[in-house]
Amino acid sequence: MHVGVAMFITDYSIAPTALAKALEERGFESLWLPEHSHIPVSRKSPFPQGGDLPKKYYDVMDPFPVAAAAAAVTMNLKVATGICLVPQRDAIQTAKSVATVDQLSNGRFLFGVGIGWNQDEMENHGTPFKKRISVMRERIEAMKEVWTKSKAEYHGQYVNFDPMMTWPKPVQKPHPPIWVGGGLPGGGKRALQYGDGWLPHAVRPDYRLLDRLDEWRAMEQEVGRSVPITPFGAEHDPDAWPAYREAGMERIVVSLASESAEEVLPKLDAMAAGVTRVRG
Amino acid sequence: MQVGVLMFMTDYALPVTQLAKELEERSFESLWIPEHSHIPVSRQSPYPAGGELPKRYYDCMDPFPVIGAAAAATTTLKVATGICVVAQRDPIQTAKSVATVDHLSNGRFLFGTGVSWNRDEIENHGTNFKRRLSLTKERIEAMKEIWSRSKAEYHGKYVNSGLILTWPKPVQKPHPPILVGGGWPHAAKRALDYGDGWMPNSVRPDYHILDKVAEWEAMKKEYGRDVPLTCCLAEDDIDKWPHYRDAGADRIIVEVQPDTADKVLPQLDRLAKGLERVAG
Repeated sequence: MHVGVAMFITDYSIAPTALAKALEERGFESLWLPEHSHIPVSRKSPFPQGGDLPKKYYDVMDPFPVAAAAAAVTMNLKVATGICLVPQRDAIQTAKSVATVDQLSNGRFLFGVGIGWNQDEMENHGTPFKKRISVMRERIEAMKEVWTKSKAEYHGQYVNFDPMMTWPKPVQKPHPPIWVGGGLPGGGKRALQYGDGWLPHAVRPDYRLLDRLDEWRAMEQEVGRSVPITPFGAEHDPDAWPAYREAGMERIVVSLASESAEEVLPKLDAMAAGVTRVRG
Repeated sequence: MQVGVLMFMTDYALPVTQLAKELEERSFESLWIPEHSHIPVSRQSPYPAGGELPKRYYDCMDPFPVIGAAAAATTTLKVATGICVVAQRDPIQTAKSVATVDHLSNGRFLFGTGVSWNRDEIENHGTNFKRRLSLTKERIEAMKEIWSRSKAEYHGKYVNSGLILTWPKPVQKPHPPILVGGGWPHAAKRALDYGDGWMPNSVRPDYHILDKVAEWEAMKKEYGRDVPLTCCLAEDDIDKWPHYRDAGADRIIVEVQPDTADKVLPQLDRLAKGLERVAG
């Protein structure tokens, strides 16, 4: 089982190039980059994990250039959005961004996606909050057309374009793996519908992922499709990791605070032996 | 006078990290990355330079991740969009992308912008082609609010947002220089209206930019504002460069075709011989 690290990259955290190198040196598999384009003052949606919205949500950089910078200083580390808010982004531009980062990383990009939860943020990008699930599905379908066809077109309810041409196509064929975020049952269903993997939170206010794997297995059987799971935000304590491996996970992602190198590197050091242990 | 190099970055060009390092080693000032998100098959707008639209227009990568990678590989080279089609991009996302690459480069980003000419490409991003000038102006004004205020808002005809919060703010204050692309006289007016520099193409079917410099000087006087002149797509002939310096240009940009290192590096060696002649 692999271990990845997620961080909201800000202007007060370790530089993403330094973080990426430190992760690769210590045997971590991947770097996951969340995004929020902005936070409206109106704050219509409460923070799903409870309490005030943490400062880092206001401060996080655009994940695509950050992923590219991380890829530029590493050889093997995978770079990932975790997650990209697809309902807030133009499908044609995002298809180009994904293909670009996959090229710059020579096929090391993982495309973590999610529907978002922050109503007024999303609406500032022109997407009605209640339509975000359908908008995301159409945009993902449209991007798959763009990535795989010389002449791509898509005619949906929310995304509509006539035949067009754009390159580069991604290095990974047919496209970088799409890891669909979100909980049970909605996120799980979407992962089985159009994803290549499911990226749920490991620990939620109301349940732990490992306690609900039976439901997920039943869902897989019902849909007739199986995709790997990456629990996101797993415990920092490496002693908690073998339980994920034994439950069949191929990867977990540990979320670190947006802190300076002096604070982050000792935490990575403390986890490095655990990374080796679960990698087997 | 400074000299920069422009390249449409494609998957058949040398890697941008290598290009950036080679430019920095040879004392070029800057690297300029154009963009086209895609080319619709309908091809409603003829190519302004005449003839068929060149292949590289279909193939160029997203400039923001490309710049993130170039910045990671260098320490003094300036990195720039040349140009970014603002009318095709969401201003809140683009403000974040600009601030991000300004941080990744530690203040080495130049924001080249343009209104573009390719009707069906623009329209696939939801922009009415005839409104692209006003839309570009409003988006740039909105981005300036975002970059410079803790709580930003903008209420225009096309861009409308209540108070929002987003960081990081750019390293360069109040924001990275905005260079306005386009021809004489309209783009020159736009540059004086909302830009920090004018960036016309040097050689056009109907005139050479150096024949317009006297009128440009008069226009600046009339506006009571002075902004630098960057002559884009200058000749690949170092004997012509001193004319630009003598006419008072602050920077020229020479296009190098997206090709492999064995083709590009000898060209850079040849062009580098012109740098000394126009230095100072």
